[in-house]
Amino acid sequence: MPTRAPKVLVNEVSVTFESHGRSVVALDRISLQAHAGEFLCIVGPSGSGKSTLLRVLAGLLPQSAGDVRIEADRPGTPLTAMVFQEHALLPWRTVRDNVTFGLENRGVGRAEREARAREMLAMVGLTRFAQHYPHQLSGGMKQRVGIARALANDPEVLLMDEPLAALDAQTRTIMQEELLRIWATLGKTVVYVTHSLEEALLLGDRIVLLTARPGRVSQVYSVDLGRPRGLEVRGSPAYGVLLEKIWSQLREEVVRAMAEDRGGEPA
Amino acid sequence: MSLAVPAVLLVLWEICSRHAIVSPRYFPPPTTVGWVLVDGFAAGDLGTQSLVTLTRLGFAFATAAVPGVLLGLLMGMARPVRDAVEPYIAFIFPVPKITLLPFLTIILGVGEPAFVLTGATSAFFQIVISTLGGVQTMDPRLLEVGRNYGARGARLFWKVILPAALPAIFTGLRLGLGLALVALVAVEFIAAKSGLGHLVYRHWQMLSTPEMYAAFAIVGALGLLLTRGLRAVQARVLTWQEEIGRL
Ligand SMILES: Nc1ncnc2c1ncn2[C@@H]1O[C@H](COP(=O)(O)OP(=O)(O)OP(=O)(O)O)[C@@H](O)[C@H]1O
Ligand SMILES: [Mg+2]
Repeated sequence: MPTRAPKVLVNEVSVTFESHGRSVVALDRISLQAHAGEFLCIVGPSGSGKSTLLRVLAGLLPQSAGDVRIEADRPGTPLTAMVFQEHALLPWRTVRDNVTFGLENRGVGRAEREARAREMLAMVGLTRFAQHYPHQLSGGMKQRVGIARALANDPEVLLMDEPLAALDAQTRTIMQEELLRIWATLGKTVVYVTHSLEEALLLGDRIVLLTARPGRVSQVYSVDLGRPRGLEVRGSPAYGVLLEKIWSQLREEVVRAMAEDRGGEPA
Repeated sequence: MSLAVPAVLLVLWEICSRHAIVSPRYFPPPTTVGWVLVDGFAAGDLGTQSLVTLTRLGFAFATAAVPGVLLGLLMGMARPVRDAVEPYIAFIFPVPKITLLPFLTIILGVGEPAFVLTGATSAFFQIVISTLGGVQTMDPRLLEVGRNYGARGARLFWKVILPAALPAIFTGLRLGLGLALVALVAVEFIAAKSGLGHLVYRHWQMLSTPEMYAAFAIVGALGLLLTRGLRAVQARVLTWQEEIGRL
């Protein structure tokens, strides 16, 4: 069970983009928290501001209003490490040097960097590919390197933006199980964005559902499906009930988002 | 095979020329040109003249490459610099640089500095534009990766921006080298008293067509070899690139 100490605090955060003279409200007074060690999933229709929220948490984008706090209990470690959608590996670095990128920037010595890379690559099952370049890897392998890179940086909070969305169904299932295993081993706080409710139910302690643009918190669901959790959870009645409940709410939001994108009325 | 087409054309040319189907005076048989090349390198001054052109090209390229890459990077990273400089680049880039020669000779006099500088400007603008393009079209997510993983300032430049722009920089250098050669041969044709361009001009004036074609052939071969060479360097330096297309 996650301890109750809050780790990520998002308070009334809004983000407004100005583009071509029009302003788009991507996030509208979002408030949420993640506890230390919690696996928090964010779901919502396309354009609801999920990536925007992660980028604010990562300090890559300033919020227009509100505040964000990440409690640091280990001085010297980075606050966040992001696993980007579609991996975003540096193509001129080998797998190993991608994994050590953050450590290198923090001035960690070579021996320690390489030891850490070995450890993380073993964890994601890529030991043999340390000297490969990203273009020599499959999509699933690149994604695992992205995860190893984030883990190696040992952040206070791990941010993951649809890390498995680009994978085929089989690889995704295997990666979900690996993520569960890794998370159970390391006990990290994770904020995890996904399009897939099934994935959120398999991985998350809680699920935050965002509304269609502008993104607001629609509902927060506790996933009381026990731990350790495996694929077999999908067969349990509680899973079905929860899935149905969240889906009916999400469906409303998605229909609303699509209608808005068409510029018409909801169907 | 890529050599089959030119080989067939050369043979056809040879036959047509030997049987006077085309005027051998204007289109001498390729074998004749071949012998002129052999003699010219062995006894004549083809080697020397090639070296003259190559030396000018070397100076022109060296003059253009470093400032070109630096300006391109600076423009790519600093919006104010880009806004200030871009109009001039856009204005001068499409002008054939040979037309700068009169202007440069007024300032520098007729001589090597004016010749070399004409070639250098030709390469310079191409290198600036390619480098700038390399910075501007880099995947913005890689910048976010850099920042999220603690690379800031100079570190972000050395570890992310420069490597990302490197393929485009190489392309710019390669195109620039070719353009410098074009400009220099034109300069030699018009103003210089030496070099391969001058050979073409002189033999054209004297209607000694085999010698003229021989000089042509060397210019072409130089261009091919140099571009191939730079491509090989690129393949060496950028081993991580997915594929470096063939010329
Ligand atoms: N740099 C930007 N400039 C202008 N508008 C932006 C920018 N980034 C995002 N937006 C807008 O903000 C809104 C939220 O975008 P965001 O990428 O956060 O959505 P998302 O929930 O991650 O969507 P998806 O599920 O499709 O990835 C969208 O309407 C998008 O058009
Ligand atoms: Mg997104």
